[in-house]
Amino acid sequence: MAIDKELLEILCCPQCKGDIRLTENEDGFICEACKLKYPIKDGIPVMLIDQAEKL
Amino acid sequence: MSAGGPALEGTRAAAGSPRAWPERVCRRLSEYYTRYYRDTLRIPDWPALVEARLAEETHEAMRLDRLEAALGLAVTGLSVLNVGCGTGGFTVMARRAGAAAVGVDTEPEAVEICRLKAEAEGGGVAILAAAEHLPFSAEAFDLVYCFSTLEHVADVAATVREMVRVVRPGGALYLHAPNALGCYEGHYKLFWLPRMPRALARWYLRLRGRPPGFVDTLTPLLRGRLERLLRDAGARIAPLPAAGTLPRESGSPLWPVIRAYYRLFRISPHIEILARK
Repeated sequence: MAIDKELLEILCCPQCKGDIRLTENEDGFICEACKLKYPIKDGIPVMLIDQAEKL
Repeated sequence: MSAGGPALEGTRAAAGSPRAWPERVCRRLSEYYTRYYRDTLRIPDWPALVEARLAEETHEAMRLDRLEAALGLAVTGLSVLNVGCGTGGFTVMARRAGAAAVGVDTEPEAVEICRLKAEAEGGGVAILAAAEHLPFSAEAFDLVYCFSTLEHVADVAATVREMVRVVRPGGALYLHAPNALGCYEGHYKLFWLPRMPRALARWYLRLRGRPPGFVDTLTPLLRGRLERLLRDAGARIAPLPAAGTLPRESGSPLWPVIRAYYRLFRISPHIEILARK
């Protein structure tokens, strides 16, 4: 399941609703404001606050 | 609702007949629903329910027809968020109908099955996300669809607020949930006393040979509360076309009494709401 451009446009941080960015190796999304990384596991974005990695 | 949605013509159930999934998808579906129907709910005829889930798109086609009738237009060209997508049956049918459909759920196994279906379909999106904390920017969708999910969420009010937030102005929300005033528990598939207290429900489930744990995860819902939450979040309740005849629930010998209760008090076993923002 590729992360397409249209999806990237509407995805946001589930906690602060601010912008997130796809990491360079496309293994997750970073929210700079919350200092959280939401991983992409086996092609599935895991946008769960309690499973985000603290940066 | 949207310039992208053509006028509704014909029925989707007739148009898009569901196809069989590849063996690996069927195996995962079978394992997932066996755990649910046999182990979690201990339903006596669980194999038939698991079998039906292998082609759940058949039911979802009918639900899509109902949704389109409620909206008064086809979902073609609409961006649709399916909150509580489960194993993706509805998302698949909405996508086949030409919608840009995204599904979210908190069950990793279910979302993985959605991913496998997306692979087989050559498209489709499923994301692990909580309904109370949707990872989408405001006004991102034309339509939010939420079927048999609100009774499962931890925070109903937060979920409704989030669903309204992500719908664009002029967009729609379609909610469908069991009615706490109904006489049937649709998960356990048992006759149920309306608004049965939890302690009594647990005792009753044990009496019927069912594991009572699952009932603790369910929130009883009433139409008035959901409508209030929607209005508080900034949506307005829209009229729905008549839903046809009341479906018979289980083979209960009490059915004539139950039907009389539903008719007398004008109660539906389900809450179905269309709202617009």
